[in-house]
Amino acid sequence: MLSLFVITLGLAYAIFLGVAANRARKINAGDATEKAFAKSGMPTWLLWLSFSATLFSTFTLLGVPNFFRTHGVATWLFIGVTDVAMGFVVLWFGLHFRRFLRTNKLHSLTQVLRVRYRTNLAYLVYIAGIFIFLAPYVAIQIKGVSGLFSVLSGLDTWLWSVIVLATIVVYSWVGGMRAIVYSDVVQGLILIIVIWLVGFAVINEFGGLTALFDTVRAEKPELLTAPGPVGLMSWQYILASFIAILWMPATQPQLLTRLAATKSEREIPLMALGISCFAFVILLPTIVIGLGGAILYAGLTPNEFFATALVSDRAPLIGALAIVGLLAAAMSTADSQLHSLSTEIDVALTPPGKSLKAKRTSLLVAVFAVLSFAVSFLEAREIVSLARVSFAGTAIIGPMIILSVSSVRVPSIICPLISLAALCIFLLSVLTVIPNQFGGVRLDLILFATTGAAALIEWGLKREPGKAAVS
Amino acid sequence: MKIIYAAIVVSLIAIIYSPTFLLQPDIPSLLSAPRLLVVSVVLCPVLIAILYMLKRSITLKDE
Repeated sequence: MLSLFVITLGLAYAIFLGVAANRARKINAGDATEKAFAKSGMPTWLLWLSFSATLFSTFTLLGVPNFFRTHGVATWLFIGVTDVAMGFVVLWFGLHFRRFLRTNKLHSLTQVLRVRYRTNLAYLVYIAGIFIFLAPYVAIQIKGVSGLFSVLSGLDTWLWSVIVLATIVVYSWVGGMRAIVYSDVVQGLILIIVIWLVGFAVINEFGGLTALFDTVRAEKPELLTAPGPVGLMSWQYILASFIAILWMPATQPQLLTRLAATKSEREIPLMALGISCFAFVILLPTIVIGLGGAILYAGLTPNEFFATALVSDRAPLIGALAIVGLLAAAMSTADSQLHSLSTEIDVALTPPGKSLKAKRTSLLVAVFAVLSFAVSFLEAREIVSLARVSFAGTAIIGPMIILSVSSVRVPSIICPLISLAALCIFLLSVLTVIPNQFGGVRLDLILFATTGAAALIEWGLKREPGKAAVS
Repeated sequence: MKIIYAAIVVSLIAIIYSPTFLLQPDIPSLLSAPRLLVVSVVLCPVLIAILYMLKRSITLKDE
């Protein structure tokens, strides 16, 4: 019965993707800029759902419940409060960014950095940052889905990884930004339905929320306190994660492109509010799935936990929805990232004032896809920890980006230089060449403070007046 | 007005992320859930409400 539902829903989803890609191709009409940025604009509700769906991927349905299962209630501070608070960054940064794009007739952050800093270094640092640190984020989409499908089907993980990656790459190349937004919306809706259905099912198994918490308190009380059973949720870890995740709308290109695709900055406040609401609604059930899972599926590996909690122990239709929803979630996030990355590289390779030429980056994107594939296999960290590496890596360049749209004067090269150095240091710590703590303080916190202070000083400095709006 | 909203948000976030809050012994509260979870979950609708008020207070000119 489960197979029948999976095949039916999978076919329906595949047909939808084909129709969406075809419709997007017709609207794009061979215009590379339209394909890359959907520059003719898209409805606010589509962009809001797309932004949210891109943000909440396999990471949400697989990673977050497992994080609650392993590290306890402080996970809500790590991810729940942070994602809701992100609405304020979307509002503040989104308004500045969108206004800068409009006044200067620009479409992407690469163009903003090029125009604002008047040096190539700033946008090269940005491209390098996203090229390296988006790979772990794409990797978790592959890792999460292929691991689950492997447990369910008995086929090797690498085979599923190849299938998932190939589907993602092809779809992101065919339809462009508009097609990706359409698929995001469907994915977001499936994900929210599945996560609530599974959440209610877990509560029912315990006979209510109070009973669930009472059971956890009796059997695993350490899950109900910080820093959790493993001691991961320390104050520094939670604070560093808060900063890393909060900067995402300003640093991750798949989110920036959705802010840029709004028809005007008047739509940004509504998007910000919608994103916070979506975050709260989609993350709330992960608490009970995770804490309930700690009791019901105590001895299982993460992949076994996903397969049992989301599929095997559920009604066939819910299980099938979870499988298709997870594939859709992995696709929507990863194809957004691949598309945004290739677009930003295309923009960087296009001389200022020239029309955007697409498909110049096939080789680089292929390298990126292979890199993500390799990370998904070689990296043993759990999904959320791997995602956090991506968030922290891109957050290091956050202050440089925010300075570019908020400063009324032309910033100097200092901030890009410090961001480059910080990126290199962080990469060395991820590769375990250098320690990730100095003097008892987390390295990522030190790097955030350094790049943040550099941007703040630069922002406050009285420099030669530049042009806030360069045409 | 925007500054007041910003100050409230920063204060709430600072309190909930402070080591004092995180390290205090946990007391069961609503639905037998720990205080750490209840307070941080309740904070989210509060933040959304402030974001809504902030949205209403922002006036954007026509482009």
